[in-house]
Amino acid sequence: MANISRRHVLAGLGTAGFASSMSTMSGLGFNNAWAADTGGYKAMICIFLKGGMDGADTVLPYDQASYDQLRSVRTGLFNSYNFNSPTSTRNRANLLRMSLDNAGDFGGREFALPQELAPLHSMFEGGDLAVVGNVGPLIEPTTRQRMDNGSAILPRRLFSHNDQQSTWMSFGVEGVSRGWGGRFMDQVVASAPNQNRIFSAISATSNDVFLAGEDVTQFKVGSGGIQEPNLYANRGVLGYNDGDDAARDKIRAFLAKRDFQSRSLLEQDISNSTAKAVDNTEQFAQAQENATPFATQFPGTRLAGQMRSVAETIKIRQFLNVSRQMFYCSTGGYDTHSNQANSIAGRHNELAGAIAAFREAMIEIGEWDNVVVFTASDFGRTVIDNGNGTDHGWGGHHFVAGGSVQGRRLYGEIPFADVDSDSYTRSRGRLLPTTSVEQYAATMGSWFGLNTSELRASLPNLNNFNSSDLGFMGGVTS
Amino acid sequence: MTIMRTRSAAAILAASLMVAACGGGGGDSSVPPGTPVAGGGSGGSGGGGTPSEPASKIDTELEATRFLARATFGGSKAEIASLNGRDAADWLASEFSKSTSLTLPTLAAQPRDSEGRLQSNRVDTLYWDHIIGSNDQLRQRMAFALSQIVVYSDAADNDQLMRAYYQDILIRHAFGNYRDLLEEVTYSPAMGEWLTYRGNRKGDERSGRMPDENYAREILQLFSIGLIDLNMDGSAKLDAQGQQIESYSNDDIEGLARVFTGLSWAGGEFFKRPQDGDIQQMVMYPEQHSELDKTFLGTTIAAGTGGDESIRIALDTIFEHPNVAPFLSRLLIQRFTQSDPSPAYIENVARAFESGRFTAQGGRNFGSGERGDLQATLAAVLLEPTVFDEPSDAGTISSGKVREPILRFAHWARAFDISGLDAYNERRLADTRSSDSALGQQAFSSPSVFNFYRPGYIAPGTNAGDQNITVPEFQIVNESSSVGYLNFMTDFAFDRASQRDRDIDTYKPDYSDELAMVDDPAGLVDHLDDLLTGGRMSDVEKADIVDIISTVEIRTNSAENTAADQEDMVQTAVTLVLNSPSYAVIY
Repeated sequence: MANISRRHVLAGLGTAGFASSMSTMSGLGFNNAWAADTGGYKAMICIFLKGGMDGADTVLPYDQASYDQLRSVRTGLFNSYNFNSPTSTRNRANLLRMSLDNAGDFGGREFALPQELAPLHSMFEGGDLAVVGNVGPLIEPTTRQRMDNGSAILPRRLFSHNDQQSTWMSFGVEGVSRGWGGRFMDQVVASAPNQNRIFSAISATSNDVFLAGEDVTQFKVGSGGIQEPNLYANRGVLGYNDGDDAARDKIRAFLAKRDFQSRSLLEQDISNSTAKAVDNTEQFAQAQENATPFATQFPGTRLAGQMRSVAETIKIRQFLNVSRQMFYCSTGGYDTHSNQANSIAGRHNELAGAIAAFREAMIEIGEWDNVVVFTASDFGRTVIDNGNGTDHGWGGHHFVAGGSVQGRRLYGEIPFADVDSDSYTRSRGRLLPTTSVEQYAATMGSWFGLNTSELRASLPNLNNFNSSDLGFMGGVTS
Repeated sequence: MTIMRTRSAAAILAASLMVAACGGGGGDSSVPPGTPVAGGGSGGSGGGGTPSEPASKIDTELEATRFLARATFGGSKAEIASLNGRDAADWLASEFSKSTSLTLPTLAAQPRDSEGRLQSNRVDTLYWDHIIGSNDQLRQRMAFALSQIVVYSDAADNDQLMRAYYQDILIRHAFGNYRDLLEEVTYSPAMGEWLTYRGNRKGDERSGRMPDENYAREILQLFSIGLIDLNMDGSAKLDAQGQQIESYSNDDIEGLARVFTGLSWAGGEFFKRPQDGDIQQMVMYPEQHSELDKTFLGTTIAAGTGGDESIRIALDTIFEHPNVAPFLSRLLIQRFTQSDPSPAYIENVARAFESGRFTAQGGRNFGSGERGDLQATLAAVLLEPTVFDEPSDAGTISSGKVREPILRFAHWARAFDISGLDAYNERRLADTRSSDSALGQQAFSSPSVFNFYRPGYIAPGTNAGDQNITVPEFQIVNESSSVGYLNFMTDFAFDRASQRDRDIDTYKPDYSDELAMVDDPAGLVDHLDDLLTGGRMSDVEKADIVDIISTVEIRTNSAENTAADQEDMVQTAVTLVLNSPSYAVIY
């Protein structure tokens, strides 16, 4: 709480007075340990895979025993992949084996990615990508014994899409109003007075809770570039008469006006929102005038379009006045209750193609070491199939990519598919997470520049876990 | 019926005795026809005695405009004039008796290619023509509301006939009973495909296969009872420790999942889709239906019970849950009148749902007396007296509903009595999903079964959000959608949207009344305010618009130029009012 009250002190001082008051505040006992490191430039990019990605069909077991075990508990799904066919992507011979630098941590067990994720496999082999296994929302380290005897404190409304999306983003069920992406940026703007709040948290997709902070709210970039209101920005609408330019100026001012003395709260919010749109898109469009197009070609998918917008935004970061940025992208189609063998391939292609193009674009502008892309999803899915699909689970496997990622390694666990073991809840092979979302977030947060107190202020249950750094961002495992 | 109950056996027994005693009226009713619910509850302006004039009496054109914005896809000038002076309850009664207009017959009659296929997006464009042009406005508006509750989306399947067949289920049951609606939805091929239980097989011990749980989960969470136990006013019930009570567990889902096995295409085989399977209710394939017992929500359906019988029992059990009335009531209120309904309002509507009756202040009765009656429920939503209250003279107003973009576009078309009602000719109406360049919303095309926005959404960084006011529609508002909406509306208001065949002027607004007012800019803006917002725009905003349109240059060098510039002036005024917060918010 201390940092929040401090932030309000800062808000009261205003940004102009910040530098001169810094020494005074130290004198008042404010500790430097509160200040996030906001030097240089860093960005985090969340890719939320809506619907619940099936971890077991994304990072597959490769050693024969583990592969056979998985196949034996999801017969229907493997059959729908026609896995014995020489061309099947789930034929063990066609899986892309991952060369783990930390193979010793897994005994003889080996892992692989399907061909649709080939671009990610290359990044893994090249050390730019890591896998974090069996991540999910947890309040505290949780065992099946404690679940069975009722002593475990569990996240609420497990297996419900919207609630688990919310829990991944905000550590509470739907209705929680602050997400950890926004909270991280709250910490940043409190420590970096020159950081432009407007362009601190940027969504390339829907208005989800992830980017909502106390002081920071999201800016939305469209996938087709920034649009401005044609009514005043396009002379073709009203016409070319002399008087029309004057009308256009007035229209612009009118749309940017926030107060029409309406007594309706909802009307006030809509006025504010339109005004914000006019002002912010104009600022963004001006910054973008400095940009040249990327040589990198992005695929034509929904996710790649969003990642292109993210890349374009990073490219103009110096004109947006930001040293840290949190981005949010999302794509759907992962709720594979049915027809999984046909549908997940397209989703994987989209994911891998978008991340690979983004990497290329970041290398093009020399920012690859300064960004980390990570996946998130509602939940993993049941290891036991329903014939040709899978149902809602809990723990899942995730990717982190970036020039600073300690890649070519697997962090966390990918349990053996013995669904009766303690690695799973009592029914249908729903993985009990062994790494919490908060540990996953904290590891990137440390790299982002947040200190321990700031991480704890953003991640309410982090203290319940022994380790707050999983090591995949090159930090000291703790 | 093979049914064993562990929780509500007494209630069921009581209900069946009541039905028998009353001589029936449908086997689904678990609540006897009760005392009519007085609108507004006791103590309200209309409670108790006979008021001289019911709150729902429409006394001005402004009130008519506002009411039609809540109950229809927006009032035309003629409808506004004809409603003025009537009780809205009488208007409702006449809407309930209008004949039903369906969508599948029109779609099926559209031109096909040599392989019998429809042109793409026909179902989307016909939907615009249908909601804008249909005479049975209340029924269509209710069907649109239901489409955002029992959500089917064509995001995963572009079978247009299947979607139209589903649209018609909602249209046909819009004034019926929710239990019947739930059953037709359950057997519909669209829902079966969308929530993946078409072709769902019973579990198999040998391979370990288990039934698909998708529909079992979403019918409970989204279509009927929700996640937590509710009081009649929509608030959460709390246990002895003050905690919310989850209304079902994962075990209930696994039990209920067994019920929704064995359904597939009619007239074909389980795995093979026949011709026209997409426009017929699915049928049960007994050999694919689970023979195990099915336990959920305190009910156990005995092992060996047949598929259709199991579904009937399951839907009865779900429908009887006390959550259904408050859960649906809140959702329906949000679709018509209030973004953040008050507990008292929810309870009034929930009681109408429970009793199947609603009595308007003027004495008119609605509903059959059967639980789940949607006429009674809808009457309670729209005739709620507090909705007609004028806000007091001072203070902030936090009531009202933010209208979704689809309603705002349709309202423009109806207010200006557009000619050329052929959306297929309008390229931009084929797909309005993009928030960057269109409305950010398209009927029956939400991204997931969770609709376009969530009913409990509280927008961060807003005044409403600071007061914990839910505004679902704000979930699709952001910088790019604000600009996208304005640009989309500009194109139509200026009649400059791109058309397939430029020789046919479709979606053409009739601004003749407005063009006659160009010499009086203040009068023109007042008129547009009355017509589109029911007179809710502030004086400041109207003065700003008057100033803007007075600045638009009117050339006098030729009659043609003068006419063109006057048209610009009117179109600018219309566009700015369509973008007004008062047009978005109805109260």
